[in-house]
Amino acid sequence: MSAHDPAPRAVVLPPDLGLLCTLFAPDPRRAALEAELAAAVAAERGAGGAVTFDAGESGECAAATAARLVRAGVVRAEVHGAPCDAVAADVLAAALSAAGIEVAGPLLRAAPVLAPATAFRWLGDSGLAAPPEALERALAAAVAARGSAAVRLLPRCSGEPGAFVRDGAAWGWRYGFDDAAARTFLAGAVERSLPRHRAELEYALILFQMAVDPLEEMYAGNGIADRNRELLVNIVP
Amino acid sequence: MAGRDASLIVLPPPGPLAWLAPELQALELAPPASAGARVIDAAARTPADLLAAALETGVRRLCFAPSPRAAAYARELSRCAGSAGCEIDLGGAGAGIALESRLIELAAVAPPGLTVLAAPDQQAAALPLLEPAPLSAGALRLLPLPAGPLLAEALERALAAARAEPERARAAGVVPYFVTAAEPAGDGAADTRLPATYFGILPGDRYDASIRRAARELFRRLQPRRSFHWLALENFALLGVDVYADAIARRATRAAPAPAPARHRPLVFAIEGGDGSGKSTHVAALREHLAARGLSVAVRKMYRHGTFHDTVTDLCRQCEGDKNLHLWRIERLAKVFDSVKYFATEVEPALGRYDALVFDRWIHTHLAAGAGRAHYDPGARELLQVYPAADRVFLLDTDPARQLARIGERAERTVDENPYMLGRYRHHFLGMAAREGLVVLDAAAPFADNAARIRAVVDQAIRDRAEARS
Repeated sequence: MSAHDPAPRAVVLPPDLGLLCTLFAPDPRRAALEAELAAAVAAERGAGGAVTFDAGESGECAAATAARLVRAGVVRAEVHGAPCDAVAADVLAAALSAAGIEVAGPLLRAAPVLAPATAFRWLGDSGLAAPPEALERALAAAVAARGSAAVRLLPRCSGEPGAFVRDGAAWGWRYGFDDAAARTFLAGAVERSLPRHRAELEYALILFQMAVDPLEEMYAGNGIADRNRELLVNIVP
Repeated sequence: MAGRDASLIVLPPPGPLAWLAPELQALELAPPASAGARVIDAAARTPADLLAAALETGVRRLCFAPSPRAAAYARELSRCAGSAGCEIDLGGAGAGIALESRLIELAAVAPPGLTVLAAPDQQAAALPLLEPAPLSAGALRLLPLPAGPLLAEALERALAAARAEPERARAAGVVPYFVTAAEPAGDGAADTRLPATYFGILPGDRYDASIRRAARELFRRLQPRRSFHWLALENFALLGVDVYADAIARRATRAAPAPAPARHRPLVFAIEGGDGSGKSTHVAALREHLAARGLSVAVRKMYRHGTFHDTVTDLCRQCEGDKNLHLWRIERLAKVFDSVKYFATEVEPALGRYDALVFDRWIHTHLAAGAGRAHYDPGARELLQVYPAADRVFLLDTDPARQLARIGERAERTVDENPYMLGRYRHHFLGMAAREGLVVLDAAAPFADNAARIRAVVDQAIRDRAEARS
């Protein structure tokens, strides 16, 4: 369905915000959810329903998405998300409400899916998926076989949405940053097998220590330039 | 093994532009193998390790192709022990061509508004923004945007094309970048205060807000999946936060400094919370409680008001009109440094004189302010390590509306006493409380209830300390 068609209802997902998207593969549960929702919307439209689907691919911040949906005539929206979308889905739901759209959700689901064959699984439900030495050998072998540019790590893909702490450190869970042993392994293994990602990984670890997800902050419209006027409200006449 | 005067060519780790668009790394040219130079990829080691390895093998000269990343890496090398024994050459003879230099070269191929079709080892060609053209393996479509008087026109032309055909714009995979000097002038004549390591991401910090809006829209239309990452880097660049320098210094993973030698340390309690949450009243009550238990007590307040605070607030006023946004970082650093100074003058002397110190606010306020406003801590955590660990920290949690009602209609409000920042403080306070075990109290609860809880927790902490000593 075209986003320009007026429709009274929308099914929406926030954008897939992944700070380390060049080192890690996308969360396969997010892709599965997106496909499932797209199919459901297509079926509903096939039955004559007027529904818009927006999977957050525009690159717009949440407020801009809400404004666009209002312009398209949307009055009700269901906000969906995979576990990795928990914070962004909250941001989107708040923006839609603020724009006057009646919101259901966020509806978070952790559908089990098979891991993509190309992503390197290193993290299990409760720590490293195998002894560190074995993982490191396997990663080095994957890099040797496929080249460093083709190797992506699989983010942690288990857990229920309710287990997520919704503060700025929540995103680190998907990369294993919350687990000291996993963090140490990751830094060492990347340094040895995927060194061109090491500085970027450090950047992400710094932000994790500060409990900040800058991508979520930008999605929420909290950039320093966006909020500067509000920040000065008490001191500049 | 290298001889005594041997040189080593160092390839610095990829920086923010390549984090954003990793495919650009293919454009960086290492020196040809035929030249026989010894080359080391610095991405795989810390500057200290690289320097140590170089010195151990007799290397006395480290050469870089000139680039902002090379300059940043060289600065980090010069801080390492033993760096005096190794010459650092940023001149670049025979050291390959850095990504930044390649992008500047490629920009010369295309007049403003045209893309460059570039492959690492092929002749570059200029094309209109959405001109369909088959891409050879490894070829990239780049859109150089010239910083300076031609920028507005170049942006407008590219935007018009992207708006006219949004789907094609999204699918074309064009990477826009700003063409600025690879190196800051360094003589006071630089037209930007952005850290040079953000090369390509912004044209500078002294351009009109309309240019910033246009750049954001263009990047979003051409690279929607990367637009939030781009915005984040723009945010840090505008604040003058050098994330690349912090990354190569291994700020997150380097070993923490060894703790100070053990000495007599008083009990340390802190009451945290936003403005108008009732901290001062609870601080006074806790002081009375500790004194009634026979302890000598002092109250300390690491956030000072008066002339210092007014001067820092004046700094913030310079950000009016969305200019000089780096001053938000300077304001934060000034306040952190004042707290360090306060430690030296008011806290350290008290450590040996009292049985207990009660702090009105604690380091979490600094951390929440940095993360809440700028989404980055410019160094507070490291600088405030001079403070002793607190035995217990209490957080008086309150919602911004209640805080503002308590603050009332004071003639003059501080910079943070607005709904947005009070909300940001609360968000980060609660996050830190969950992660670090702060005792959270509902500031809206009756004073007597909270005071009783504080007394109970403090009494337990006193017992814990006594047990630990025994």
